[in-house]
This record gives sequence, structure tokens and C-alpha cells, in this order.
Amino acid sequence: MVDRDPVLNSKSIMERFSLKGKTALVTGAGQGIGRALAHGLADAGADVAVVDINLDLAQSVSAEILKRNSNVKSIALQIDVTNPEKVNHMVDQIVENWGKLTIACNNAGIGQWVDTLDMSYSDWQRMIRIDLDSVFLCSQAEARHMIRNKYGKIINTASMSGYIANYPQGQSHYNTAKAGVLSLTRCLGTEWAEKGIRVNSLSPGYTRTSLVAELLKTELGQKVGPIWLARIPQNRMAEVTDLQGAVNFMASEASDYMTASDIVVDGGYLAW
Amino acid sequence: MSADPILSSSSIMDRLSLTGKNALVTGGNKGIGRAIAHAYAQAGANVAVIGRNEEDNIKVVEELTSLYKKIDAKPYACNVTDEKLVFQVMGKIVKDFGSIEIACNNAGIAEWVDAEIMPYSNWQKMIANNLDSAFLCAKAQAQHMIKKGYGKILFTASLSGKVSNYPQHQANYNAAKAGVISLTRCLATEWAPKGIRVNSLSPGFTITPLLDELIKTELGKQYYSEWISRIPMKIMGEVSDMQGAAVFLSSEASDYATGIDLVIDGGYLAW
Repeated sequence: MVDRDPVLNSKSIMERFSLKGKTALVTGAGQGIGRALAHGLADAGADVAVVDINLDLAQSVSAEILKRNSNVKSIALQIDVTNPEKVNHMVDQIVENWGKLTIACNNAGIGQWVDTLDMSYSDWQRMIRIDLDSVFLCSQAEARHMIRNKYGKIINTASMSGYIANYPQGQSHYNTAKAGVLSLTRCLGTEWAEKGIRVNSLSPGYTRTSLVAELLKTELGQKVGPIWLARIPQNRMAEVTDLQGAVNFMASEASDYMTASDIVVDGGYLAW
Repeated sequence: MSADPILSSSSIMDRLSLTGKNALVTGGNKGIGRAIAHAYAQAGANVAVIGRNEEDNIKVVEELTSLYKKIDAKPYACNVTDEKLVFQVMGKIVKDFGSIEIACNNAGIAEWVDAEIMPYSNWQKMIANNLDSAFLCAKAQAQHMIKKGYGKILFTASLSGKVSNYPQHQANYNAAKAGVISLTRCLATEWAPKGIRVNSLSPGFTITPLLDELIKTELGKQYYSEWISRIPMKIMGEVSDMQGAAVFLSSEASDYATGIDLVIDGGYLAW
């Protein structure tokens, strides 16, 4: 037993948290949560591809990363993650540039509030395509590459909305898509477990992205803000930086026995 | 929008560090607890090692102080099912270290008994060791942490708190661990306004010294292949696989996570 004591024979946990020498992509990284995740990965030493449908935003975040972390590389990629060809191209470009892809955060998504009785079928289809189909397409393209290296970390941005129906806003398509992301994470996590690919998800609670901060200033926001806060045990919304630790953990070797699982970071919302 | 939180925050690696914090681990002298004690020390925390057997406590403390020069570690003998002793030892740790920011309530026991023949005393002993102890320790710790307005409490739960294990029968263990997961939610919401974060870690099948011995027996060999067949990753966890989750949940990097259970099980629960 002593000769195989994993405690004394493992690298220090802080080394296992480090992402030095790893390459990562974050979709939807031009703003909001994705931008925070891209910075978090770079803070830990990873080279980061900033992927967004808006090239200006992607380039500006990429430049920020290079400024904050002079020891890492970063590129900006303009990709529509609902387009299978573009998604394959995304992985190809990263592998061409850096030789490999170790970490993939499939984070791109949209939100919309619309009561189901008023929801058009195209609203529904657009949501499922952008928030769920894209995760399937990206994961498939990423895993095809990662499987060759017998190692990879896929982290999908789900949501606490995948577990519950939010109140008071109507968003049945969003919640359903996010529940789909949680399920897909379980499926891919088990399907690729023996191939060395870990697939996990992050479920944020209410998060003060710049878009949400703007929304809270509107008349509608003034109404829903207090309703949300009353249901959060910590009585505050998440900052995007509150989500970085969970993703860095799931991206690192420190979580290599974790797969097909989800980390909820919601200030206690789901516990009530 | 006030200042951009991303560019004004310290590096995430600094927020994962435990430098300058004081931590305690119950059941810290072997298995998963010992691994967590090592990880806390590696991340820079001073560590109080609590266990029933003081010799084993001292052995782990010596490992910590010889390997990690920047931190302090101390042994504390305690039976964590004894209310009086729990409050005494928590008081002593606060006195010795000055404060406690991180408490990992990990001590527990395991046994396999069929429910229809399980003596009531076995049930009671299990609940006392694996659930009551969690309540007593957390209560004592929170009384101190609340005064400071900050604290991180971590319980070792188990995937057994979410499913019934197969093929071994352990209704008392599984019920106690389900209780720990519920207690985590309750204390997290109750103490959220006071700055205390309460979360749990649910390991899957993990190779501890205890289990290592068990796997060598006839029954153990038979069970082992059953377990592996139900783990998508096809391997059991090492105690070192639990270290990252423990440090993450004890660090500032998880300050918005409370009332959650972090599952590290090689994919077991997903199947």
C-alpha cells in the first residue's frame, strides 16, 4: 500500500490546478460569462482561443488576455456554433495553430423571455439550435480530435434553469435546452469515459453579466430583480468571476476522476 | 456597471490558494481525510488533523510539517460523536490557530449488513458516526465562523447518498449519507446570510487502505468486478482524486457555491 500511496506520489494540488502547456477554446467568449471563463483559463496558464460570432468582440477579449497574461497565447475566431462546417473549422484551426486542443468550454448561448402561449415555433427552434444543438456539434468536433490524444476536457455551460423553471419570467425553451445540455453531458461523459475525455457542465445561477446589468435598469428589470434576490439564499447575484473557479477546476487534472457531472454555482438557489 | 470584475479580480490561481487560512479535517488521519489534509497543506493552509487515534493523527501531522515547510499542523484526538468533546476540540483549535476558516467534516464509518437482520444498534451507531457527527461539528464550527462573517464547511457525503449501492447492502450508510446531503442544503441556506458556505463532496468508489484490504477477500474480488462494470471510467477513484474538489470548495474561488454536492465518481451516477 505504502509504495503506491497516491497522496505522497501525486503532484501538488496547486500544480494539478495549473493549465500551463494546455490549449483551450471558449465559445461565446466575446462577452459575459464566456469572457470570464477565457480569462480564468489564461490566468492558470492555458493558451486560449476566444470564439464568438462577433469577431470584434472576440478580438478585443483576445487582446485583453494577452495584456493580462503575457505568458500565454491567444487567438480570436469568428464562428457560428450552429453551423457544423464552421464548428469543424474551429477545431481544425486551433489544432493547426497550437498542435492540439485540451480544453473546450462550450458556452455560447442566448436567452429570451417569452410566455409559451405566445412563443412562435421559430423562437423555440432558434433556442434549441443555439443553446443545445451547438453543444452537440461542438462536443462532437472537439472529441473527434481529443480522442486521438486519449485526453480532453469538455465543459458545457448549462444553467440552474436546467433543473427548475425560473420565476417570474417565462422561458420554457431556454430551460428545456439547458436541461438537454445536462443530459447530453451525462451521455457524452459516459460514452467517452474510456477514451479519456471528461465531459462535465457548469450550472450558473443568476449572473450579473453586462447584459443582465443593463436589463436590471429597465422597468421590467426593476420588477424582477427583487423577486430573484428573494429566492437566492446568499441574497446577491453571481459576478462572472464567481464562475471561473469551477471551470478551471473542471479543466484541470485536479478533476480527472470527474465526468458526466455538473457543478452548480448559484448562491444556494437550488437548495431552497 | 461598476469596475469590470474580471480585470479587477486577482488571478484565479490566487483565489484557489488557501495561503493564510486555517483548516481542520475530521477523520484526517487516513484515507480520504488524510488526502484532503495534505491537499490543504499543499494549497498553503495550516491544518488541524482530527481523528480518534492520536498516534495516527501525529503521524499525518509529521508528514505535513516535514513536507510543507510553510504551514503549521497539529493533531487533535476526538470522538466526533460526543457532543461535549466536539465543542471542546473546536474551541481548542480556534484557540491554538486563532481562527478557523475551513472545516472539512469527513469522519465516518462503513459496514455491510442486510437490512432485515440489521440490529438497531448498528443503525444507531451508523447514524451517530456519519450523520450526527456532521451536525455536531458544523454547529460548533459555525458558532465561531459566524462571529467572523466568513467560513467554508465541507462535508464528505457519498454517491451512496443518491443511489443504493450494488451488490453490497448498506441501508444505514446510504441513509446517513443522504442525510448529510440534505443537511448541507439546510445549513447552507440557513447560514448564507451569515457568510458561511456549506457544501458536500460525494466520492464514488475510492481505493482507501480499508477498501484495499477488502478487495483482497473472496467477497471483495466478486464485488470489485461488479463495481467496475458500473463505473463508466472503468477505474476506481484514488484518494488523491478527491483533493481538487476539496480545495476548490474550501477556497474563495467557490464563494458563490453553497448548498451544492460535488460528485467525483468516474461517471457512476450518470449510468
